[in-house]
Amino acid sequence: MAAMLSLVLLLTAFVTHHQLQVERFNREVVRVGNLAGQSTKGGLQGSRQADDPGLTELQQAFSRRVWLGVAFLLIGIGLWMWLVMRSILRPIGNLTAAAGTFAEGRLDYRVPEMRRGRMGRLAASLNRMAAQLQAYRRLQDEKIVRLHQFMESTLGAFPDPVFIFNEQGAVEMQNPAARRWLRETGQNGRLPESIESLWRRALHEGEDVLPQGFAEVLTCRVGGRRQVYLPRALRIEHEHVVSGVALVLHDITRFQLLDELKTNLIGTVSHEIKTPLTSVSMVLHLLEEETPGKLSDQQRELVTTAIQDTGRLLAVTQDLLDLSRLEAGRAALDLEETGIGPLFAQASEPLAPLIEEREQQLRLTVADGLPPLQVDFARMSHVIRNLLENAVKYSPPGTTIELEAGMGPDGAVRLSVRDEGPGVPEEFRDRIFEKFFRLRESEAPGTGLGLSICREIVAAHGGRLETCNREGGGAEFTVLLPMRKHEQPEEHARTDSGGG
Amino acid sequence: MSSRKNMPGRILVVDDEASLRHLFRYTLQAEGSTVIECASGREALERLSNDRFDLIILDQQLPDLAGTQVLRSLRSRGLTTPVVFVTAYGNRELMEEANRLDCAAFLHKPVTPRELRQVAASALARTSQA
Repeated sequence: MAAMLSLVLLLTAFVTHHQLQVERFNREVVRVGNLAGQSTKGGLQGSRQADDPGLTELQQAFSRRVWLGVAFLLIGIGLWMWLVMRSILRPIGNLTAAAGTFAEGRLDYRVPEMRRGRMGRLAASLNRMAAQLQAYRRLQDEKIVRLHQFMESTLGAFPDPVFIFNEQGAVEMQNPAARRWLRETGQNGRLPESIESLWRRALHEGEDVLPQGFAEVLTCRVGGRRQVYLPRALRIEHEHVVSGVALVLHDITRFQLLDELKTNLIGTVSHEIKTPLTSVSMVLHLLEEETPGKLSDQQRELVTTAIQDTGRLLAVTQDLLDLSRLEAGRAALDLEETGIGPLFAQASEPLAPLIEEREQQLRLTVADGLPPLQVDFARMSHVIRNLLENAVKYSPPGTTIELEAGMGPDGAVRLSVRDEGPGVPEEFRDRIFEKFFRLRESEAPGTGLGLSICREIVAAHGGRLETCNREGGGAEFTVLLPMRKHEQPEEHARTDSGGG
Repeated sequence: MSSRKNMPGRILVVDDEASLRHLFRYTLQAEGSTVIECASGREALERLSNDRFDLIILDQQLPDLAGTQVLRSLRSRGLTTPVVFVTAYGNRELMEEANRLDCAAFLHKPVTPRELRQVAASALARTSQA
């Protein structure tokens, strides 16, 4: 519209200019006519003068009209520019404001609709984007809520106390079991130091704290009862950034009680069995010696068989008793310092005849510079002898058995027994230490408790008993004994009633 | 193998298990000994204050007193009778203590008749030498 106005004004100016030209031309024509009609001087001057006023007037009118036209033109242009800019700047301003609103997170705002055109399309796109972001955010929020509910229900149902610590050590979350536990351990809502030290360890030592043994349990009085927990502190981290620690107190009270019960049961039953068995054994021996009277050959044979079986029974019972005492920690170790030489000698001497009979070779190697051992001599030599015995019995005749002492990892002393027999099948590598586990019934008679007892003895010394197969065949049993001061296993507050 | 009847002497067998007591008695009597049985520590101490014995076979696990307690009591009374200690589970501490109280020998259950005879015989021999 402004353009129209300007154009109109311009046209007016043109027309005026044209009119002017036409007038001028007319005047010239008249003048020339005048000049031609009048050859006197008077007429010339007169006509010129007669023309001037009209011409000047027209010229003035023309100038006025021109200036007016220009002015109008300028105004028109100005107006036009203003309108154009408004049609561009206002939408831009709206869009900028809208973007600002979105940035603040107010995704429910919408840009007011604009005319079609580029701005209009931009506005529509922004609105679509906002709508999509809004939908996405809603979805995420729902997911988070669902996840949170899920976690809360799971942890709520979890019977053991769970604490979630943030990286400052404040408790961010605890499940109902944890709240109950705090209430009953009576610490006025503050966590016991043992718990605090755990999450601190997990946070600063860069590793999850996952204790395995009974030595690292937490004992507390909960509601008047003695409860035992195995704590587990897990780091919550994402891409090497730790945001907290999750602490679970696994209640093992029942488990420990059952374990003690089982151990005691085995010990008690074994003792109860051993007692009459001892009598029976003695009776059989007396019969065999024919002290009460002579025996027929058949009778003697029967008695001999009975003696052998009684012997086996007694051996099993004795092993079970030993094992239960070791497990219960009641078998306090008689620690003494000994060189490895005497230990090996004590272990291998009784087997010398058997080795010779089977035409086997025993090779002893003790590395230089090994420290003396702090062990229960009788028990540790029993372990070595047991391992040697297995090696002898399970290896074919004519093979070599190696008994070696050397340094192991972390300054531990390593005692190894190696044979050239069939080795231990991979799948039984750990099971072989289980109670009553037998590899081959037919080969070597035994109670099946030997290796369990050995493992317990070594564990009581703070060490480990392991097995692996050698390259080229044969088994290797290794006793690893740590050299630091050994701590006694936890003694149970119970009087020794199992033996005498 | 006939009994030898070459182990005369008075032997006191102290054990709370009747069957074992009987078997010990049977075995030792076959060698010619006179055997008296007791089922408890107090009973044993009482008998020992009234009678003289050449050997005491003493079980560690008694219902009232520990074998070592009986032994201590004996020694404090000035009795030098040889004692053979019978244990079901020998640990070093126990054995050391028994040795301190002048114990002649140890028997670990299960005991065979032969072991019993040998140990009793050598313990009795000490008496006769003393």
